[in-house]
Amino acid sequence: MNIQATMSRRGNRSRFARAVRQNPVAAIGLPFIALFLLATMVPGLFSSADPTLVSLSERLKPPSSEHWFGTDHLGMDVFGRVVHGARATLVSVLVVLALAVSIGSIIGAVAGYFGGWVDEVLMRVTDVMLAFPFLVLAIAINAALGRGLWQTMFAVGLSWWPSYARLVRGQILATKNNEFVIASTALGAKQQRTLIRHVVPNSFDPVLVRITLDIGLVALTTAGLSFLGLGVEPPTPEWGRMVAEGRDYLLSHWWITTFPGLALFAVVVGFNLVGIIVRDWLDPSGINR
Amino acid sequence: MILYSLRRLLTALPVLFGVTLVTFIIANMLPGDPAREIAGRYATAEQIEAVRERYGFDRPLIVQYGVYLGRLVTGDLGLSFSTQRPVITELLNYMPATLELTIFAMILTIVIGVPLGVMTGSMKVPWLNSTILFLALTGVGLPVFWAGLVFQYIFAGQLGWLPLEGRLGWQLVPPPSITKMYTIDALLAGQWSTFIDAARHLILPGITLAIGRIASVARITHAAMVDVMRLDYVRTARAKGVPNRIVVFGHALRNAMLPTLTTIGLQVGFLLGGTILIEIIFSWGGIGTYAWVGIFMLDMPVIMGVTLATTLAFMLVNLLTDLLYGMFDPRISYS
Amino acid sequence: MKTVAHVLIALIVMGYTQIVGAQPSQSQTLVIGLGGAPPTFDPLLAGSNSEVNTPSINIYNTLYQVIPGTADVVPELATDYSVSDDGLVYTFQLRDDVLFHDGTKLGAEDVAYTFERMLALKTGTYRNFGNVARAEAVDENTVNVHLSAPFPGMIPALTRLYILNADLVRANERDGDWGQTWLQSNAAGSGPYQLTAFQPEQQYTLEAFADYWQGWEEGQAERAIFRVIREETTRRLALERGEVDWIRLGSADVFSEIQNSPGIVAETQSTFNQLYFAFNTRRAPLDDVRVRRALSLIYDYAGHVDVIRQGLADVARGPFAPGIPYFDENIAPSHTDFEEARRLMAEAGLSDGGLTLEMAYQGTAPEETAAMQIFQSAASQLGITIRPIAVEWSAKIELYTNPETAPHLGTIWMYPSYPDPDVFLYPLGHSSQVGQLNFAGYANERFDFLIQEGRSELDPVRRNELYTEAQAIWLDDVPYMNVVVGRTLSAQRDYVSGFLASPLHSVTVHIYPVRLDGKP
Repeated sequence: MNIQATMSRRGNRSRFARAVRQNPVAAIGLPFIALFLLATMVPGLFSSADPTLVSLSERLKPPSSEHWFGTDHLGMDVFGRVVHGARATLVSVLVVLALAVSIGSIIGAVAGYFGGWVDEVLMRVTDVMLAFPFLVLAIAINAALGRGLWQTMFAVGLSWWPSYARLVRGQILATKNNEFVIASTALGAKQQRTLIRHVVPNSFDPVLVRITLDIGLVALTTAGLSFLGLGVEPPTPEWGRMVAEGRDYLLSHWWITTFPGLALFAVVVGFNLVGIIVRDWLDPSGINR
Repeated sequence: MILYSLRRLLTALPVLFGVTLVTFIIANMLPGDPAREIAGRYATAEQIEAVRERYGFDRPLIVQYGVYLGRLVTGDLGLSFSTQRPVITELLNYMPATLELTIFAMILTIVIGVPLGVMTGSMKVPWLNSTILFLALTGVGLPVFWAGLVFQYIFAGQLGWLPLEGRLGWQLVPPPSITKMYTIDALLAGQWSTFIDAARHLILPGITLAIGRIASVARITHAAMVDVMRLDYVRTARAKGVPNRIVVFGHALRNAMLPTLTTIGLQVGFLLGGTILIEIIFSWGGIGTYAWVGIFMLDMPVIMGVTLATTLAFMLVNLLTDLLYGMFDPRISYS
Repeated sequence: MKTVAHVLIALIVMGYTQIVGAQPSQSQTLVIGLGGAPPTFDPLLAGSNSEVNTPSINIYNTLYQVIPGTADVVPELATDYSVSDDGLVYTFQLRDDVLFHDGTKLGAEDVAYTFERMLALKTGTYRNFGNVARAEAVDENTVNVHLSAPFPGMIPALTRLYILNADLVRANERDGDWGQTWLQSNAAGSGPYQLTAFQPEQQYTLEAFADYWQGWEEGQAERAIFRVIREETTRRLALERGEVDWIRLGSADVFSEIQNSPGIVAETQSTFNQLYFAFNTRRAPLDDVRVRRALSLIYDYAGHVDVIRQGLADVARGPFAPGIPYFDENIAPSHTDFEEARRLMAEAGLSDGGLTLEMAYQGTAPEETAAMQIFQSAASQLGITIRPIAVEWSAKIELYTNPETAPHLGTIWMYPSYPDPDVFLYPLGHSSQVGQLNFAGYANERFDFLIQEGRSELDPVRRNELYTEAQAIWLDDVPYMNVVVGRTLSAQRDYVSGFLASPLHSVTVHIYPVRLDGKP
């Protein structure tokens, strides 16, 4: 199935360049993502303000040369908070996807490989988690384990793994019946080796593709939960939470809500666009979309 | 086909069972003593104990789960802690509002998204692909909660084109309730001005909810059409001079529908999630608002009831999509 | 295609004009924007839920009620009362010209039933009447209420006991529920307005009761629509666009801005509602009074009042506000003193801080969130980290059921329903209330004694002695930080007048005194 892709892992860089050239519009996302990643790693590069410093005398100031994005109701510099808030978004995306992919892959692999009733049971469990609203899970975990970003990420990760389980299982099933694998089994290769050397690597690509599709969604989901109050605790800056904090001030102090929302929008769209390039790079034939 | 449907239905049962189990476990993870909630804030210790015994909160969890299941079968979802009303009654009261919003958003999604994707996918304009892609990815990336606040401010607050919040202006009396969806009920009762007012209130929240979904569906349909148009038999038909309209609607569309259908089904999940945010911002008074209040009051029966309701809805839609898929996909129909 | 478009446009235009010409009497309809919906219309719950108090005060009457805008209590349904010498039997004489909305007369039977019902259900307003044993109708217009212990706050506490139409409620009882289910969406009152429509989570409608015994004047609202708009920004926009006539405001910033909007008047009313930060005296290092006092000196009280509340609040002075009887005038407002705080911390051996303290607060309340963050920022200057715990009321109560594990700090507001020190000191400071509202886990024998005595002492001189000492102990022991006394904020269109909130019904919308003059 994906043998061609597997066998031609050479020339990656040239394929990347080609992917960019073929999708010029998508390349618009690249600078946004670059800025985003830079902000998460070295926020000090962009803003020297302390994003958690309460300063009642400075509150509700409009954007100016001193405070590019103005200040909020507690006098905290909005630009600084937007810059520092990037980290929360990145962390939540990484943690959620790491959880989802690892749990999902294991469950999917086991289900696909063993088949039979193991498969049936695991797939029913997957269906249950798929149908279960992530919001309730997030509330429950927040309530039981205390409010916080980690608890929320844990909850979202738990809700996200089903699609990866299905994906990996599908790949395993398809590859199991692949002629190449059957051939090598017939030639006497042990099942385990077959699994590790052929089946597993072939599952990577669709998972990677799915990840690129999911990044934006995860960011929006965790921001939405933070907006509702289930996420970071003050004073940690986080974009969804900042939009919520500023909403009472929208009419006269629009900057408090608008800028974090814009940042979130830009980054999510950026990830979506860059995702196109990544997909073209990994999978130019478009088989795994 | 029938066998397929039956098999699909059967596999749904253990999933439903699993959902009730997870819901029950989660409800018991929530802090808050249900006996105290029911007894009231100022109840004495003996009163709380009495409530605990009466409601069976002191029995082992397995027994409680059994009782819970038994009640579920009869449709008894317990009483809300804060209002002491049966949760099932409240759910049925608030459900139509959310359904109205969701159905409207779905209609927008299908009516705008599908034709958009079909049209652009069947045309051979080179830059169109990129533009559609860009617009779609932008639409999908829009944070619903932020967009809601901003749209409300601009279109209602500043321009005054649309109502600010709620389902109906306060000057109007809701139409006689049949479906409890104001637009439909107003039409059925022939109350034209009420219908217009209700429809106007639906626009802003509906569009905000639908943007991301329209983008998704448009994109998938577009991609599917492009793929199908490239297929040999389509190109042959075109080369032979078959009019474009017949090519598109007669042949290409049917095959393009499969992935489109799946996507539409998936959108429901997103809609259900986005509803809570929209309902809060626009004071919509549906299940989202109900869930939101229940969440913060840690009203266990309400949270459990809403969970089951949304999960059931989600599963039903999935089932429907799968069945429809089965109808469209000849491979399945003939198996 | 064109014709279809034309027809559609014509229909839409017709629809618009129909809406505009819909209701002829719109000018006497008052539209209120509320921030929350009442979970029930059962007036018994008005004693513990201000969302329920709003409809109740308009639909029902009480034996005694405040003069709007004040804390002075005057007769309403009662004409007079007398008390037995031992203070255990109250006899009320009732008016005989009061009609319920269904046309029947209100009598002693209804009053007795209302008391009976409260004693049976033990919820809501019951918290103020723990001393009531029973009530009986002596004749058509006389009621006797028997107490188990003298209760100095009896008369003012009656301002939240709304009298029900006994026959009507009894007729709608189901399975011995005392009519609770029926009263969720129905009313059985004698007050100026009747409940005529109710869409949960959206709005409810009250219409004037023509035969109301207090009569009607020019300019009063014939109809009042209470619309639920949870988003404050939306509520504000609705007011500015004239879609609603009156809104409750939570944010002092919005209050300051909205004052300048044309056609809008912003109003503020003082209350006795006080915000405290509770110190969990059972957890180290807060078991050391020096640490508690130090922490009480680092908070920016002035900043809270001047900035967060834009001057629309007062720094608290002791456990309850001036205006409550037996308030000790010598008590100064809470103040900030970092030097003294550092000295105390050093004395307690914590000069570098190095601690983490948990603080529970209401995450959905902007004022509490801001207060927590201010405290957090101040505490960091002492080397103390505050770990915030955002919880709503039910979860907070749950956290405090076990004082050994409850958070180190917690915010708590007290909303008195009658002006008496006991309403503050007992729930917050009596040892029997630990695990309930006594978030500080405070147990002081002398304090307990003083409070216990004061509860059933009728002699004002003696009460004054008891409460003066109690306030002194409170200030010495610092079980709580006394933060601010709040004010309610609201805004209305300029054609509305007469909104007077009483400190005893502070977050309540009382519309009988309101006048509409020139609503377009």
